[in-house]
Amino acid sequence: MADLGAACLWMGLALAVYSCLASVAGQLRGAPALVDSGRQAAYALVLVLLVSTLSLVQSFIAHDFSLAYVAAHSSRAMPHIYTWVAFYAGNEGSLLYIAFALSAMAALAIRLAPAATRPTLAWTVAILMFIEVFFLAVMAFMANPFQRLPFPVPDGQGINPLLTHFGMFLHPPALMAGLVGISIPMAFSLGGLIGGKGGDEWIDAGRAWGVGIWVVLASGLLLGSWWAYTILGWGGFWFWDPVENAAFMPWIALTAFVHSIMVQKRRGMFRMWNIVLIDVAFGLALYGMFMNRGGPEPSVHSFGASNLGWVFLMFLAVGVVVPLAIFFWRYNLMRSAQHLDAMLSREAAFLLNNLLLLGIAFATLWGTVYPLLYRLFAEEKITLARPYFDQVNGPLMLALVLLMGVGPLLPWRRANWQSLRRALLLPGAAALVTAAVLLIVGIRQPYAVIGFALCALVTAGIAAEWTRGVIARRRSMGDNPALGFLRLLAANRPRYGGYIVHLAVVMVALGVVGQSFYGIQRDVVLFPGESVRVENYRLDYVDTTALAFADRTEYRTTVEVYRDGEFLTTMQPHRTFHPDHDTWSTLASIRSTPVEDFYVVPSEIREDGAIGFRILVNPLVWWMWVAGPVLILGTVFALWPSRAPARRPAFAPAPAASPASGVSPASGAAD
Amino acid sequence: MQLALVIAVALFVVGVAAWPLFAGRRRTSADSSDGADAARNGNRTAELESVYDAIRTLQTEHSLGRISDADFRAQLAEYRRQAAQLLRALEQPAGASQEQDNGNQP
Repeated sequence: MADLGAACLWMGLALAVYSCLASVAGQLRGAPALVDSGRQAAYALVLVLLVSTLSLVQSFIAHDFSLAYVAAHSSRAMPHIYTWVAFYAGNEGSLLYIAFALSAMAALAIRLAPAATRPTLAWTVAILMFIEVFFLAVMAFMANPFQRLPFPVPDGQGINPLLTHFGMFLHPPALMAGLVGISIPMAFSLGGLIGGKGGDEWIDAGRAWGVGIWVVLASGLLLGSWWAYTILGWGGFWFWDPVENAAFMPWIALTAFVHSIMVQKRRGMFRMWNIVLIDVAFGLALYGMFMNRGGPEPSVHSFGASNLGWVFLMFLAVGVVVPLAIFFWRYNLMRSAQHLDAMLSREAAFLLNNLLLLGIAFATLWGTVYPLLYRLFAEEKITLARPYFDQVNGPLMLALVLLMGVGPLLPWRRANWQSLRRALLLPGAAALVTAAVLLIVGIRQPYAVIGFALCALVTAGIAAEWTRGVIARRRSMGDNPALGFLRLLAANRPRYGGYIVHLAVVMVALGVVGQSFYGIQRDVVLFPGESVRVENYRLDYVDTTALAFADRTEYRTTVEVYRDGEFLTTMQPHRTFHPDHDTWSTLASIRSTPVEDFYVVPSEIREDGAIGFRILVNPLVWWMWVAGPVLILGTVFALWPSRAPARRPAFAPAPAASPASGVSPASGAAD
Repeated sequence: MQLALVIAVALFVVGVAAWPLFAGRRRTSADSSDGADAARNGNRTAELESVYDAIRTLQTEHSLGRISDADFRAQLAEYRRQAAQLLRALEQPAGASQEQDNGNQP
């Protein structure tokens, strides 16, 4: 099957080149048949890349060790369940995955493109296919997953042990699809500009794809944090590693974009700003791919040493310069239809939110790039580690949470202080009560107190908003509270879906603040039968059993855990040696509750029979992992299409109505 | 076997990509004009939905006491004017409304 896969890869490259050229030529020459042909080629690309992908997966299943890629990333002893992970475990396979994911998303985006984008859709197709050409050409000429070895080997090297974790089924695919998926909203915006449309034609497609890609990236980042927490054995979930940052920055820029695009949709403002934001997000995504594939910093998150770095660096340059040039070329087309009415308004809050998010993105970028520049010019290695990121990004993130609490309470266009004070009364009181209670129980760390108080502010603000809405519905329509709540949510899905997402962000903030300020770590060495106390926990080390497998030796350590003298649970963390890779891996055992995690991992197995343990008590981390499904739920809810498009609200004029300005009583199903 | 599959896939994708070039000979200029009208109407429908959303949000914000009666009336009048303008444009026959396409911002 490998030959079929290889042939399909070349066919894919030919189709992408043809689709790009046909779309451009068809649009320039006014030949709709050629434009349609280019679009059809983009659909056909999905098929050939699917065949190519399945061929590679089949080669893994069949242990076809004549393929260099299969031999390097699998072995006969590898459990079949990890075949999917092995498929994208290296540069070549992951590029094929990226090309396939982009082709599928591009086909869907083209097929579902709103009518308003149709006149410039050919340019959008050409941009997407140009990006496809890059990935397919890199694969075809430099990193072909179907390249054969001179002599087939009897067995492969095996999968990287760190990848044998459930999180790996979803974390890399989500991140890779998310990073390349930013191309879709970018292509709609840029395609519109090239075609002479600098208005709002692209925003429905841009918003839908922007929000969809945002949640895919967010899920990928959360799953990556969970993977790091459970398997890397250091007890944390975020290291501010340059490659981690490279995935975090485009997500931050995209967060700014999904907020800002709402202002353009509602008010016709921020047209230029939204195009800048999506271009920045795209540039940062390309930077992320560069860092991940032959970038200057090695990382557990990257694909290791490769010769692809310079190619991705050049593509990064093209991806930054070309959109910028088109932006300036079409500058005059993008004037906003409206202007900011008042600084105390929802629009102004969105603008501030954008500035804070970009502040975080660029502080992170500087923290990532500065050590590289320093090494380049001073020939000396320095590292900007967690203290820098905590000091710079910590206050910005707290300000962002504050804004998340206040912003949704502001009306569009213009607010007044009196109504804002009224809206903030309950959330503000909740924040103050939370802070007072925390101080009374002895929590004095200022950042932690402020962080928890702001979480209370946001949660209370959302709860108050929902409650007021339900009461208003009950008053105007007589809905009972449960039905009224559901109808309230359904009446404005983007708004209330956004609130659900905000609640998920609060959950993540709880975990981050809890672990950062009140996490406790102990490193101890114990012999069987010995105990150690950590806070109100006691850990008894029972024994360690060695289990030999074909490709590894697993050391399962049994410990018994007591809390306040009462038996709690028996835990079995692992430490495993992989002779083929000459490396150790760990799997922490975690007893997780909404209050705190009790985390234990064997960090060292000594020859005298003692075991080195790392033991942590991490408060509130459970909330971070629960936030993931809530985040997805909120996003799906926000994006779910309305059953009755363009349903006329109360007060709206009937068809053929004159633009009368009178106000009639509410009678329809408005929220 | 693999060679046969390669040829089958190649023929299929070439057929899919080339089909519009042959089918396209039957297309007339009226088809592309219909497409342009559909795009214009699609844009207006999206704008209309956006104005309706804005009215719903305005009503919510007014019912929650976040904006004054005077602001509510002024903004509502503006949204109603925009909605009426879009509805009129949507009701006009195809091709008659090309010139007044721009400027309907919520």
